[in-house]
Amino acid sequence: MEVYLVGVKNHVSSQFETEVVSEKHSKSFRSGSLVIDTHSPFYPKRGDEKIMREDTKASIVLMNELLIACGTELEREEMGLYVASGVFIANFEKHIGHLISVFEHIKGAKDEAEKLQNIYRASPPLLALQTLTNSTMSFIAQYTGIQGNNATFGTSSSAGFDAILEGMNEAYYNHNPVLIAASNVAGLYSYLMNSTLYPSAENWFESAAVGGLILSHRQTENAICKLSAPTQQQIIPAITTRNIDQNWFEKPNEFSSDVLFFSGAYTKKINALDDTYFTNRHKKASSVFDEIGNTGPVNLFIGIEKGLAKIKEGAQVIDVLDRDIYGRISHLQLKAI
Amino acid sequence: MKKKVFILDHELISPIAVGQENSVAALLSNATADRQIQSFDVSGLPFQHAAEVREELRSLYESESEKVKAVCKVDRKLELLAAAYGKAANRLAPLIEKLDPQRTGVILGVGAEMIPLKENEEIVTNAIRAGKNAISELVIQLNTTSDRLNFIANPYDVYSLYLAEKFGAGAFQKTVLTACVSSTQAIAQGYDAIARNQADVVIAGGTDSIINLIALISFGKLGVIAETDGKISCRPFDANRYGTIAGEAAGFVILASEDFVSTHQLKPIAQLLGYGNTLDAYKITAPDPAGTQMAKAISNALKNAALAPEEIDYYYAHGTGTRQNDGTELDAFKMALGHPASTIPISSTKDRHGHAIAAAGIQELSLLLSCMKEGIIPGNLNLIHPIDPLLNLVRENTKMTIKHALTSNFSFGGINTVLAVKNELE
Repeated sequence: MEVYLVGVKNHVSSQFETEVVSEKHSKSFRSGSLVIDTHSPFYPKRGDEKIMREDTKASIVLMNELLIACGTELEREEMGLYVASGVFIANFEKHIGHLISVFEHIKGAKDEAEKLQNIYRASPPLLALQTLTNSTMSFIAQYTGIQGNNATFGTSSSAGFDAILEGMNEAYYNHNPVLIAASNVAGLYSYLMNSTLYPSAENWFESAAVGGLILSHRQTENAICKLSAPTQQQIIPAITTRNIDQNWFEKPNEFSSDVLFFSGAYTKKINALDDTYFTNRHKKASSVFDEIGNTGPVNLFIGIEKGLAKIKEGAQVIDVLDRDIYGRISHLQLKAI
Repeated sequence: MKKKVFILDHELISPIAVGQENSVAALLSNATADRQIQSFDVSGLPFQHAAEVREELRSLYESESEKVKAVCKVDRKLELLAAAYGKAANRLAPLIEKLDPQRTGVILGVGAEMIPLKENEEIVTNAIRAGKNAISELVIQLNTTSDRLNFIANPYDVYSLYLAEKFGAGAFQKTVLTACVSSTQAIAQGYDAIARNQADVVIAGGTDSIINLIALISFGKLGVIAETDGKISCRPFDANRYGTIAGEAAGFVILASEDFVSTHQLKPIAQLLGYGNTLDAYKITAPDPAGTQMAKAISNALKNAALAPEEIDYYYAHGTGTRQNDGTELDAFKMALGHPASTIPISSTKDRHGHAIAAAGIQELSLLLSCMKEGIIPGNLNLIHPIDPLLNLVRENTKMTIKHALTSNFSFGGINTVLAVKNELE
């Protein structure tokens, strides 16, 4: 299956910090966050902003910029919209601060009914919308007018592949233009969720990012390359182990591309092992881990953007690979046109 | 050329029936699961009722590892899913032996995670008093694990991975996160994977529960849960409706290609003919009152299934019993079907089992398959003053052959997904 890539745009973290989670347990991590342009003409209205998460605000701005850059002639009514959602709340404590603060005084309540009434009163009225898993997709639709086939996938970086694959299917089989978006906020909650699934959390590094792609089934004048060969390693990841199989593919020598971009590591050590693996097997392989860490479902989008830059420099074929926290490996190929 | 997609089997854990074989009896008895919440204390809250799965489920997943059983105690979604698999495991064993891992996938719709704050009140309050981040303390203290299964705060992928391990499904394991249409979209994508020859078999469904303190409060404050005031809680399509019932469910269907069915000489129970799937692009808090995109989802389901409106024997509605959904849904139905809309039987069963959000689609498809098998259309239990007297809003359970049916779900944020199903037993 091959479709045409009409546009790609990513917004990656520009602010980084190291956060100590627990000195007692020696838990800390490095994380990046986004700086969102609140003066953008596409920045959401105040009424909506209050129920939007950061990933949603950043997505709305980026997707509108991408659509404009790709030409306004794109028909939004039939356009597909596929979204990959990584962790979407960076710090639950801050997010539901009012609710948490109730627990400070909860022991003073005279009975269980008073406790629950206090919790009820302190709960934000729009909490359900703030934690709505399809919030980013629904707001992108509202702010772009896209009304076609759709889905939101989560949560690991494999969701990025799922969204791209469904987008490619929609373009290839139904001949509709497609917007594919991915977002990840990284941060404390992501670290808490993911680090216990990894062999070691030492030198953990991830960051917030938002990515967007526009696909078309035909070679329009603004098509920039072909997107092809979407494949995922066919394994059943065991949830009863957390070892990472360092072999990316059974036949790595089949990669004869000009450049290969890989992603998926959460720690320096695993990224170094991946780097050694590919350096021994490919003439030009690299990752962006040292700059921005892991970006969850946006990983593949960043690889695609990097690959596109190489195609503009004359490369013909680019491999983009990602491995999710459960060890599932996804592969895409960019081809010059 | 699209390949045909058949439904071989299904399983359901529902507030009205544990096990799909019990669904029809529950529907015919007009049993409702709308009762006082038992699973946690709700004293002092305006929402006292929910549709809980009250039967003991642990015996259905007793053979699981100690770790899975321990996680099931704190993760209701995993418990419901493990019970659904456990209920079907023996029956499905011969089928599972026939599956090619490279051509078998899993797609599940899953609901939002809620941190169990009240259930861990001691840890939370101690952390606050010590000036620590309460959520961090909670997760760190509970998640002492040496595998890829946390006690709380798992990536949503964990449910599809759990089921993939059971079925040996290596082709893909996907997780759809679109609230009330999550499992409906999961089934639609399972249809696509087979119709496009990307898989032979897909296990598609979902799991969700909003019967916990934070979810109940969240949905309640949004105005979609009926407050408990001694009256009937959920009245889909009634002029006096004022909200839905919080629910929970898990289940799956086994979708298979025509080649797989014929190679293994299997007898499908139904055919999934197609689906419609659109976005309102209107507002996150409410469906577009014009209903045009809802109507388009219904029209697209008919078009993709190559069905004329006259061929539809039953419209299984989303029918939440909320002010905002029901009127718009009926308007959309009329818009999509035109003149035949007035004769087609319409009902919702959320008055019996509540709204299972991400598992609503699989719960209702499973119930539909049971109704198709037995030839019954469930009535709207609590319908007294129909909001549209010109439509055939069914009040009594009715014996009737269902050859073709549509089943719809519409989500917060304006996502509209409709499945078209053909009875293969009729």
